Amino acid sequence: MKKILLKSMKMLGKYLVYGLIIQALVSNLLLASTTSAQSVYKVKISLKRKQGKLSQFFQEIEQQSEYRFTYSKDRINLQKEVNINKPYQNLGELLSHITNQGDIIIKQINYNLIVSKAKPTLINTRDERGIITGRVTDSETGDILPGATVKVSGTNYGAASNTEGEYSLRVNSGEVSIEVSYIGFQTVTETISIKEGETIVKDFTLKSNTQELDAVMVVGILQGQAKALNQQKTADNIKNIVAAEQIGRFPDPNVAEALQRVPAISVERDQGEGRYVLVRGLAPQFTNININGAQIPSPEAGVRFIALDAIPADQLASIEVSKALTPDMDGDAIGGSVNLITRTAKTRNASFSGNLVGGYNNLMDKPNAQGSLQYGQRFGKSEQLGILLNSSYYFTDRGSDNWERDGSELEFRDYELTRTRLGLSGTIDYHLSENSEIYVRGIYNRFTDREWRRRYVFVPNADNSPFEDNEIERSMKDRFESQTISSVSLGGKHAFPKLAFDYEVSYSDAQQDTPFDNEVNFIGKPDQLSTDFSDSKWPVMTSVFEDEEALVNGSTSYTPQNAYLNNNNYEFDELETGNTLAKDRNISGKFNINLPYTLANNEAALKFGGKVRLKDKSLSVTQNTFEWEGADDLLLSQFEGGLVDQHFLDDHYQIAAHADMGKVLRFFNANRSGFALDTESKIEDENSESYEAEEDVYAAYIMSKIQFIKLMLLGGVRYEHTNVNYKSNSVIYDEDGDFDEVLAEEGGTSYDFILPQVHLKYNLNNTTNLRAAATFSYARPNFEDIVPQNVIELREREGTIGNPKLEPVSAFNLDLMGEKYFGTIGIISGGLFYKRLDNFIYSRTNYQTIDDVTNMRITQSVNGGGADLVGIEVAYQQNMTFLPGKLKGLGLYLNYTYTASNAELIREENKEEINLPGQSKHVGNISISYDLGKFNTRISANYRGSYLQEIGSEPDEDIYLSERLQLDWTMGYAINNKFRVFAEFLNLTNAPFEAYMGNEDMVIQREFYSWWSRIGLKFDL
Amino acid sequence: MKKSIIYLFLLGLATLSACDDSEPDVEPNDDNFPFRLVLDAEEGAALPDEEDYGLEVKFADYIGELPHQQVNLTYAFTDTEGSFVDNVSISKVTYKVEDGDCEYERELPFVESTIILIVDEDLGTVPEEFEIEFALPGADDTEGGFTFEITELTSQADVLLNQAATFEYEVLENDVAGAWVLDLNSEDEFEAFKSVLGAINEDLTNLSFADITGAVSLEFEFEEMKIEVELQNPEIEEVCEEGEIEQEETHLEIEGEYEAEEGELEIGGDHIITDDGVEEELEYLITASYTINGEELEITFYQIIDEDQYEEGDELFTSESGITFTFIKD
Repeated sequence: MKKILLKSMKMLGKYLVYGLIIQALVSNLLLASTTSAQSVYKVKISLKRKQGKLSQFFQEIEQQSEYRFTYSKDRINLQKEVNINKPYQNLGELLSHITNQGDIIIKQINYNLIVSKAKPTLINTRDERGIITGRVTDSETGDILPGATVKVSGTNYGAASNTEGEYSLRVNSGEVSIEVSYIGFQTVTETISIKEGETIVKDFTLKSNTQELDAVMVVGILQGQAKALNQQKTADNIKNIVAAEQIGRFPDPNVAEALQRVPAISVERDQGEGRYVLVRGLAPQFTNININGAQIPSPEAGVRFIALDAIPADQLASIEVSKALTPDMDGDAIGGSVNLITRTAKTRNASFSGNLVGGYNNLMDKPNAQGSLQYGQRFGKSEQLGILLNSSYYFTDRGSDNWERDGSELEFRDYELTRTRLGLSGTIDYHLSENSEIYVRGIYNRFTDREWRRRYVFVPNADNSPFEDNEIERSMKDRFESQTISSVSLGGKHAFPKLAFDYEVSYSDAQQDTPFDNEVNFIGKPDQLSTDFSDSKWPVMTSVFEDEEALVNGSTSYTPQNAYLNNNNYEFDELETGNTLAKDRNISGKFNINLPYTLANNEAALKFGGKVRLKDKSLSVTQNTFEWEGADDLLLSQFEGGLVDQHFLDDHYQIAAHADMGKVLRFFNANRSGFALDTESKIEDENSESYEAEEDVYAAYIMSKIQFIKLMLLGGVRYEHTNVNYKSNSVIYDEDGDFDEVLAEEGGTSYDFILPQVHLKYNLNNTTNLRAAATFSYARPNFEDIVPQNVIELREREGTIGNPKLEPVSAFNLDLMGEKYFGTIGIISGGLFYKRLDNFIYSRTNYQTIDDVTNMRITQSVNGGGADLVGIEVAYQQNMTFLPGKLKGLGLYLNYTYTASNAELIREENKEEINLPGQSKHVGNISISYDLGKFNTRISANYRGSYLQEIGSEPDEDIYLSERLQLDWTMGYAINNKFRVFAEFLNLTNAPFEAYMGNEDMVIQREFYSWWSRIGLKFDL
Repeated sequence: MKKSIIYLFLLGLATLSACDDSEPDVEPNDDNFPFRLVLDAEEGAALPDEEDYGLEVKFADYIGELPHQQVNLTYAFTDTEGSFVDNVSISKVTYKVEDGDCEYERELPFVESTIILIVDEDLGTVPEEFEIEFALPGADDTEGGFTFEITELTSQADVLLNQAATFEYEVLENDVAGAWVLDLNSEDEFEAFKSVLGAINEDLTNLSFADITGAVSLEFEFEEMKIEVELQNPEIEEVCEEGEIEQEETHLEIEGEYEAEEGELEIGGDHIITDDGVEEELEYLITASYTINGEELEITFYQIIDEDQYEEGDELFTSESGITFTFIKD
């Protein structure tokens, strides 16, 4: 820990020095003048001179005005050459240009202009200022425009509108010319007269300047692109924004799938649907997920990452992906930080929008449905009160056909699923004044997953051991799982001429409830059984039942080769029933204070704040295994029923009906005395898996942002302290292999991080940014790794144990990015990133001595050495309006990310270098759209290269996910500006989920989902 | 218009909410765990002249504390055949309790058709297991068999009787059944014996001829067999029963299950090996043949394999012509 502290402090010092050097190099040190009623900004002046010595400019100004300069010749270099190339409206702006080049500051006292040498470190808080605040909207649709640049004309000083389209700008009192620009819209300039300390509400409405685009594209779609790009352009750090309208352009019903379109993001899928996000080649635990800036607890037991398929995409106003952290953000995000932003009410007019969707899943031959409705309205004389309510519901019957391999074992899995997503969210905000707002936000998401899994497991006696039989297992699992994520936040934002502050308290709760998880297994013993994996795509299974009785089932006859389909050949093995409940609760509070100041006539802001987050996480498990000890044998044929897939894996294999869980459980309930409970496995499972943990995090930060003429410098440091306490159990089996005892474990750990962050943003011009960032971040260990949920089997000399000494992964990140935005709403960007990870965590098997028993083979998560990750990220998005005729309706959306990594670990006592788990070499999207009037269509391809998913105990046991390319097609037609119909077709090429072990020839899993579709109506009333 | 949309939407939402399928078709009755009383065996057998036979009855693995209430078991003898017609009964029902290092046998009351599982004063619960001892005819020419069945269990405690509560007994008619002895009179004979059975018993391998008396006993019971090699210096263990301390000698034993039919004998069991300092339990399988000539049982061992070493050339022991030992009826 000391090492980390020292290292962090060293780096902090280094970056502060760098910061100061950069400031000294780039700043023209001018302190702003104090103005009064006779402000120099009100005096019109025009000099013929554009170039000359400082003394010549002073002289000419004195000739044309009543103002007189006062200075010391010893201290001021009057011979300094000055060029005035920029336009100016008044004396104030002229003086500003002169001081920028003259290394001087000018202070106005009545008609005297006091000239003194600039002092670089002087900070001057702006007392004599007013605030202009308001909202930027689209003049045609009234929609808010987030990310608009609002600045004082002729300067680079300004602000960006937030996700609500709201901006707040402190300006000198007097006449101020404000310029509002937005990619894809005409720039608006207005002069505003403002008094000292006054707050003026000024809304701006911008008109689209893309008439050509309007002719070929639907307005809403353009807005989506524009909103995203404008927010991205004006952001202080490197981030990607996905606006709601843009999400709607792709067939992405949940948040994970929406995120897969963002550069450098790939997703892990479950049953064909995106679930976890991997940012820049780092596994899901390295990415922080927030709702409106508050971290979401994970409903899943043991981990921190969030299954984002639980959250419907249409709940959100936008998604922000920050790839470089600023000090005001939580520091536990190495890959990136994802912020899901919910909606707020915009206008006095009630708005209703939503959709009604129906769909079809080809594999299951079943429908799906979706509906959503959103209501928003502002109330009050000046629209002080805003209410927004949003709800959505998604229902789908899905499935998959799958085969898996484990050595010589072959497994068929036939999944049948019913999934639902319910999302409810609401925001009530109240504007106490133009600059003060309080709000309460709530969100509730419930994802449910009913799963029926039917399995054949072919276990050949591959070695022809006389001690083993050929076995075919037939199991049926019926389980329901719900994941709920709910969060309520209460907060406020207040802005004053001298400071702004905001605060928020929030309560978030996540649960994964599995009220029932039942599985029954039957076993058959064929006389011959073999598997052949020489065709790695479609392995072959051959079985023979020789006994004549095995070939008959009532009136149905089987051949010895297909008698594996005869359910009379399978006897009851065991029934497992159980339930689990995982809970994760966060209570957090935070505040931020923002103090504006000027540094050498450059607008700046000092920001500091703190945060407390108290987390409780727990898992309770009930697990029962019953064996049959009744009088008669139980055969699978007695219980068969339910769905039978007649075209399993596209007719490559034939399967029979499995057990109907209802029949099994009715028999179980009626014959309870014949079922024996396996008490040892109950004690082991329930005690080793259950745990309780508390994690308290205390954080504070300080940062400053300085806007020079073209350069924005943001730097600061964040400190985070974490306390973890836990209670769990160790289950011990003695040297005879018998269950011995359960030992209660209790303990804790704590750690600190100091995280310096520096960001640079250089505006080459209005549409081009160069960005650089050097940041520190970290990732906490998963609870399942740190909590000692131990199972020790002394006789077997093996065990799995937690590692309370596990340290968090720390990281240093370097980012470079260039962005060029197009007026026709597009972007080309490219960047480099490098990450150095220390204390990389992986699962290691080694030999230890426990309870005086030597040579125990123990598996536990440990810290590895360092890991390096480097990548290139490019993106191009363009509406091809420059093409002739109808071709101008074409649009391109491309991005590609290359990453390479190298991680050090010890395996089997040998030092090794591997790729980081989750890191794909190539990730990208290609999407081609065509818009013609009210019609639009888009074909999208999402590619994710292969990556290491699980580190084995030796290289041959490493598990990789194969590359995957998914092709989706969507089209829509705008009936009018209120109604739009659309159709989406996903996974057109039936791309499988594929995994291999060790090398690509050793395929161990292929899972197919076929294609599915959604057709519906969207409305916006 | 807008209101209609909202109503329609809410109606749709309510309808769809019913689709999350959160209830199982049948709720398993798995949230309580009644005690289950089970018979330790479904069938048994003994030589014709056996005068009694014990059947163990016990509570299956359970969670918590055993019942504090009495349990009544109703039983019946059915399907009596041969010598057992009207000639089989329960002689006693006993259980054991430990007091310190000493073990005591206590009896449970039973009447003509009921065994009463009483709460033991010392245990505070009913005993975890007990033995029903059947009084058998005991004659050399005993034949036939019987079925013992616990037909009903009554108790105020939450106790169930296992569905399979029937025990079938028959006279052991296996031709190798009974006790046999072998005298290893020379070191060569002992080495030959070791070369066969030492493969599944490391302790036997480590013995020298001087360590044994030469007496080897072999006993075939119902499905189970035991070989005992008498040691010169057996381990002495003090055992306390009914308050009296006795010294028991422990000789070298090899146990297994067997199948003997038409001259072919297969014996299987578990043995412990030490691999790189780690003990491992493996199944073994002995292939042999036998012939019986009057009072002599001649067993020829051909092959011994285990789970690790079973492929040709890799066996623990193999001999094409076999190694033969002649046992004498005890």
